[in-house]
Amino acid sequence: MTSYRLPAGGAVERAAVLGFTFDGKPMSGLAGDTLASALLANGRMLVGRGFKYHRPRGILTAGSSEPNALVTIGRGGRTEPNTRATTQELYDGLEAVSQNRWPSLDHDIGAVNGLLAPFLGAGFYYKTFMWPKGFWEKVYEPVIRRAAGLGKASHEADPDSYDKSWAHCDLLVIGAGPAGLAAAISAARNGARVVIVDEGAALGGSLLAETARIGGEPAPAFARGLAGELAALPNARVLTRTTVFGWYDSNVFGAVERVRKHVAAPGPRRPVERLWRIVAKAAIMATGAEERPLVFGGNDRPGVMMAGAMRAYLNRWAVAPGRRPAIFTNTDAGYALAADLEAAGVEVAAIVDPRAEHRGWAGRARLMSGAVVIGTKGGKALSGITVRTARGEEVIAVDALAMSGGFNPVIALACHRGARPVWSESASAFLAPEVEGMAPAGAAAGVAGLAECLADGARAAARLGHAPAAFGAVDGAAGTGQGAPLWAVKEPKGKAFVDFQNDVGLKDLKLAEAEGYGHVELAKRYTTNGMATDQGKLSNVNAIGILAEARGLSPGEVGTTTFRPFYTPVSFGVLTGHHRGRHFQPLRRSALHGWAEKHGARLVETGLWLRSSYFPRPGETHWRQSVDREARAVRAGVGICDVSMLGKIEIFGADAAEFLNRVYCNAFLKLPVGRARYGLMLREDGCVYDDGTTSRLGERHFFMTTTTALAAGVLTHLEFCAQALWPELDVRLASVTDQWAQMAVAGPKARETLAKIVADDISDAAFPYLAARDVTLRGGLRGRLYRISFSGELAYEVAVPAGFGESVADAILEAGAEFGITPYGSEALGVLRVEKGHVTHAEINGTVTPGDLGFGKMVSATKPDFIGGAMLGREGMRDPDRPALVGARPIDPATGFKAGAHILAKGAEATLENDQGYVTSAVHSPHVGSTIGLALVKRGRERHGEEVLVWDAVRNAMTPAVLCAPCFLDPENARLHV
Amino acid sequence: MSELAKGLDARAALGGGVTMTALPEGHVLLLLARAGAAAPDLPGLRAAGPGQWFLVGDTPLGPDAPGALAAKLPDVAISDQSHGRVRIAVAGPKAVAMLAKGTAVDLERMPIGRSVTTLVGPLGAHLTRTGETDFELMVSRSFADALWHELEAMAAEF
Repeated sequence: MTSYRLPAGGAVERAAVLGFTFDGKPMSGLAGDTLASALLANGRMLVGRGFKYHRPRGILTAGSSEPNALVTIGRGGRTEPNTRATTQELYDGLEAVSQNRWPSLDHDIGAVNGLLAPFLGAGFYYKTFMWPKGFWEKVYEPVIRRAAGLGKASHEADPDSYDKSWAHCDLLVIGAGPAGLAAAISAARNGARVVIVDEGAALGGSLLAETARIGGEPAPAFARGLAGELAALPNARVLTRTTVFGWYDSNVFGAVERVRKHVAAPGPRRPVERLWRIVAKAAIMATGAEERPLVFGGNDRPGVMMAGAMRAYLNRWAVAPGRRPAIFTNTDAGYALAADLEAAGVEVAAIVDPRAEHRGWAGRARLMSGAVVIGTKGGKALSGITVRTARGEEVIAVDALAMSGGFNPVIALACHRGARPVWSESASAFLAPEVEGMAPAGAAAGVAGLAECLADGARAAARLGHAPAAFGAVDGAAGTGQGAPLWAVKEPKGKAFVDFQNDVGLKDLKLAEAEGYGHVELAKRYTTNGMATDQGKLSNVNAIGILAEARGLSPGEVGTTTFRPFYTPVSFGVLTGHHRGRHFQPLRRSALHGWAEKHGARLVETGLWLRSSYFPRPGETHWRQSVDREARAVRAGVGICDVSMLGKIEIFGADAAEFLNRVYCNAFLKLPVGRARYGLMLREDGCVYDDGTTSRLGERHFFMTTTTALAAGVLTHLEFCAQALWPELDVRLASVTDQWAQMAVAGPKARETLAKIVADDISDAAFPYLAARDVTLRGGLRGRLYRISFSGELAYEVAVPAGFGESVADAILEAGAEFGITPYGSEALGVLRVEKGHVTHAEINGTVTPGDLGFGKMVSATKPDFIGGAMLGREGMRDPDRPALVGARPIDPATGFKAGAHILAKGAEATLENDQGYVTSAVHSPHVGSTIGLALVKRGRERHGEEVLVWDAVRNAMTPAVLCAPCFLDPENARLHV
Repeated sequence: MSELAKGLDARAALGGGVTMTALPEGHVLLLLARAGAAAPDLPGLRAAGPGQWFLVGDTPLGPDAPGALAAKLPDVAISDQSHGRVRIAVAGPKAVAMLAKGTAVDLERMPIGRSVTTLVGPLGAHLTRTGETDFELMVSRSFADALWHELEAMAAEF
């Protein structure tokens, strides 16, 4: 026989019938059902297949610890594998599909694995698939993975949106069962800002399946009353369908709210899930307790269920587990279930209780004290149980079996920050460690009994200074007695499972212990117990108990494995939020972004920035045509380039010069006002960190530029130096990267062009190389002009407040029109700087010293101290074998090479030992007429003129090349000083 | 041009709960004193860090204004950020719920007039509470478009 819906009772809406399908078969349920309760109401006991042996599996629990009833929900981009049927609310049109079976759930070929069971025990991977070596990756693992699996993710994009939010409260209450509700209402009535969170669709927890009365009111109605009161209080926030999955530093809790997972589609503008980060002054962990399964032969057969779950299906969803269930219980909870079943008209075949003494049962069911279930009978559904009593074995025909082995407080959250659970001999349970910021209450604290849990919740609030709420008397609550832990039934008949989701049996754990893997952490890895998506919610404590018995220790001495977030699986979608696709990371737009677009720039993402790469003109079919033209235009006439994204930092203060003198390896103390200087910044280890120019705009006012890549890093570094290293210096720093639109105007015609724009005298005499100062543009706009050059040409950088950037850039274009002014992008910029041997972070690769880059003479020998100075003297930093910056060009100009290619001595084989260095940058130079490159080469400075091989393993190319000085044009820098 | 700069007075009403408004490019001066220094006696200063304040207003200032102000304030350096920062007003009954999606700041307990430097999603921003249901966000100009998109996404359900 199978499970069925009772004609009356429960909290389901009889009039609201919902259609759904399971493996394509149409079924119907009621509003208020979970998928699991609806499946049971339809008599569907078999809902999944075991992970390893593909044994038929049924619904075991009524909550988030479910290891068996994992199904795939939805279709297309909304496909959600491994959904627990026990927590999925039913909606009209829901499509659920079973997993890990082929061709169908009822006829699963993988079940032959069951016949191989003797070979699939703990450690079978390690023992069986040792040989031949190459077979593991290619044969064994793929086959095993296919056979032992969970659901499959969709390859389609998820159409839903996900949200994130922060919340702040005086008190966070996790779990809204009796203890949680009592704590929350106490604090909320006292005016505290309370957040109460529960996994379920409604507050109430175990109260919703309870038949006891509180103050004369049925428990579910009592819970509804408190929930309504909390919802109406402005200082309380109620989060249902929400799981607190982790506890983090500063008492921040992570939680996922399943905002619209209980409907077919979330609807426009509604997020489907929301990630909460809850900052709580205090938290009460009222997470309840998980009922412990009993370990006996065939305890995984569909029809075997946790007693609390069976009671919940009966009382809350009006679903009977069968016509003739039995109960195997080591706790008094089993008797409450028996009473409720009989009250609902279901015949209970037997109560099997390992405790010898009679429990005072007054119902009709036969009570078998001092007895245990050792095995089950049936195929895809339970048909009988074998009970061992003092008198022998007896087979009883049943169609369902409830089990209750004891209770494990749910304490994972309290252990997320490193504290370990504490074994309590008196409670026969692991209890939460004492931690700061969070306290357990109710069943989570090992408290038993409904009245006691209500009182404990109120007490927990009282300890935080809130007057405890009082409630009416509890009438008809279940007993709280439980026997000594029964970790596993002796000599079970058939496979006795400990971890249902990962198919770990009693024998596997015993084998692990016998083979020397008895330590709880080793046993976990050897057997995979507790490693499934349910993280061993049901299995871990039993496994510890079994190991303890095998090793002759107490469970406390065996200890637990480590608890880590997440408590239940969390979707990648909700962790990502709306930062996906185009918004995966923010885009930064330059002040001249619009100007560049207007002039047809091809944009490229560099870091977060969108930069102009090149500006194609009609007729140009290849990017290099555009880049060659732009580079030639700069050398022949004049070009304009957006350099706004360079980092810009203003440095103020009486000690600004001294500060810079310590931050840079070269001298800055005596930089005159109105002048710019190239600066090289080292890390403490003596390697180059960043470079740029810094200008002195006033006695106490400097303006620094950094590379685009390290703009934020350099500011952080400077702040650290100012705040932590030298707090005695008067230095104030401000990023002004975004304040200025800055453009390089470069080429022999740069001065003539800018003379039409800048009102001040910019003749070579009045504004010489490295001059830097405020200027007035024609029309009155104030800006800054720097005579600095990255291209090696006569060049200026013009800066104006960002909002004026576009119009000034256009005015410069107009002024330079007669000289053929050409906008150029980062590609041409790269060509021009490689031609001159100017370095970027391709060369400043984090391992080079100033000397390696040819800047050895820049390093001050007279400054008392500067960052990196101490370490530059180390032996390794002065090793003559160190790489040095050189130029490289192919011997045959028709050939070329790319950055990243390695340098080999002529005739040398391509081996690691023969590696001489690598090409850091390579471009096509229209002025040289071939590829040119910069390279870091061992003893490079001594090797100018040497013929070498450039070896590109990626493209399998070997190019004869010659090393040279790292400058391909105007080595005397005559073009700068015109 | 960015969407923002195209129409700085563009008003985007999102649902009924929140309004986002790009504010006029007036002035934003960053006042830098030594850490621990008392705030200068100026109305409407917004705290920006130890010894640092923003002076913010809707009217653009001339290029000499920062220098003139600095001359009046002993030992305060002034960095003109008027073009470097973009201000966006967020207002409405859902403003707190919306902004809570982006910032870890306890907005419910944030007094009117208080400013904080915070993150809104992945973006650094300066947040000021200007009224019971009114806030102002200030962000680096290059991130203004990104912040606008961020706010739109945050406000979508309202």
